Amino acid sequence: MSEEFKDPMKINDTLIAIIPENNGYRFIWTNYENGEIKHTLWENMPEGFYERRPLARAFMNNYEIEAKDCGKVLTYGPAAGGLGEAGAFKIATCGERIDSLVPYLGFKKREMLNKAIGKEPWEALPYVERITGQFSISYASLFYALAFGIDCPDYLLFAKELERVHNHIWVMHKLAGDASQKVANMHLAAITEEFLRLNLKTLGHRYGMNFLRTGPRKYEKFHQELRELKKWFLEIAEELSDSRIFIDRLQTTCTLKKLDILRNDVVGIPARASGVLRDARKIGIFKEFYGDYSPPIESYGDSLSRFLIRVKEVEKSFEILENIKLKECKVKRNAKNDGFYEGIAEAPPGDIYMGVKIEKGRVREIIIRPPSLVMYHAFSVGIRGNVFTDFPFALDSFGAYFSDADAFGRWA
Amino acid sequence: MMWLAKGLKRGIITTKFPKEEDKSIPKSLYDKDCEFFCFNSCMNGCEERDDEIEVRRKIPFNKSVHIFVLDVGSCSSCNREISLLNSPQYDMHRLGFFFTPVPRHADILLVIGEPTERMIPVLKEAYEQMPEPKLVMTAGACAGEEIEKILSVDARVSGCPPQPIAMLKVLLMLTGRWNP
Repeated sequence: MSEEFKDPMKINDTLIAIIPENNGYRFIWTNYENGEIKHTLWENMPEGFYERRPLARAFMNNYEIEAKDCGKVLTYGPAAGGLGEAGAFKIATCGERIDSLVPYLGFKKREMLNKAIGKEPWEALPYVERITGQFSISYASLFYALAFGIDCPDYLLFAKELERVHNHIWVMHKLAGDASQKVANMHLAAITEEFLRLNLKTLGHRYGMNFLRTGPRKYEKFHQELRELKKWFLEIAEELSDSRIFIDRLQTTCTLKKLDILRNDVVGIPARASGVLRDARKIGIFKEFYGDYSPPIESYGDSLSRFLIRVKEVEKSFEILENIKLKECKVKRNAKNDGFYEGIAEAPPGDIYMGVKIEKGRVREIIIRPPSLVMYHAFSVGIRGNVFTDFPFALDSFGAYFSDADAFGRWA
Repeated sequence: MMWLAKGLKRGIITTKFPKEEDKSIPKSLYDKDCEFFCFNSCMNGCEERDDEIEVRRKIPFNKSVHIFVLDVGSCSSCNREISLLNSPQYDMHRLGFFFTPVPRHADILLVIGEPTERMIPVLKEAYEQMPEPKLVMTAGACAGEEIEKILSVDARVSGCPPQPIAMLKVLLMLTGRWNP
């Protein structure tokens, strides 16, 4: 890991994370052209840095919110039924309009990763898998690639694409429900359930939590079931994309302009929905898997664009899954030598950064920048000026989880 | 209209459970040494098993039953499995179960996750807000011993996460509507 002492105000790369250290702060950056990861150190948070890099507030948990004129600040969560998770938002509102909103994180600061520290990498894996169940395969495969190296590439790709499909379909299910498209909502829930059963039959777990330990399981009907699910999904996606009611609710909701993406260091689906190609599949640790893959791009940056990106990505994932010929494969269990290993990989909503330090054959430190932290920040930027009824269409279009966002930081 | 027609063409996909056992639902893979609160992580080899269930107290509600789900620190997969109880494959409404967004309307408190420091007071308050009679159920390996230290638990289901069918079984047993 190379690091230099440099004023963060003078760096133009994409900000990945800020980690407080004894005598200042560690800034982690990446370049989405060549995938290079850089660490810089600085003794303080420079004046004006939060304005220049608003995402820094997410890393420092330094969000501020003020009510204007007739407004009030209300806290929504952490047990509110609508959110479905232990998390909250602070919302400044005057009437129906949302003047400002900030994520209120920390309710799900779990001890899961602390349990991984001090263990041998293979024994630490079950805890890494449980950072966020929905992105279990993304986290496990990145941790595995860092601590052990890349092994059984076809199987890793297979598992990652299965995860992408069920996550994207679940997001669409939620959006259809928000828009009161209950029939589509139920179709998509049914497809998700069938997909999770398919995961269990092929990966050994509905969310893939065992997938590296069990290895690929033989399931003769996989391709037949996949074809049926693809047909089912495409029919529903087509109908949904033609529904005026659905489109009206999503179009122009929670719009992020290209400038918003660049200014706020947003990555993943919201970036690509605004026309900014930031995708770890092109530069990350698994880039060889994807070759000349060209990620779908949209330009309007609204909830509808994010929905359309998901539809196209699911189609591409189906193609990948149809063409993979899985062989029996057991991953190696001997970890790399002592050292610090870091990398970026794509999870369904956006990119994960992970750093793993191995000392005397044991995991001593894990640094994580989860995608959901960026997604909640992007949501807080896009939702300003929208009305309350837009809230679910906006939030659900990012596919973020509080358990994921609260995993941010250095675990040692 | 097309969706409705396609749905009808597809036929009924809802499980016949509890009228009869549904063998089409694949079983979970568990570590051979797995006890109730452990992850099904297959560290020591796997075996196919149903998620385990323990019901300690029942209340035979003669009405629709409302469930308040409280996540106190899950990895979010239990949340998805609970949401899927509404999916056409399980359709818990046909059995008289409904989610409620507020504890004051709830008959059952369904707790998931290992409680974080900030969620413990929320959990206690949610329980206090519920009207009598009330039941507490925990789901998943994380919501284990730590919850039992805070509340008296009436039923629990193992799994990481437990499958929707296992949760449906617990709900039916808790309310005296099904006995294995």
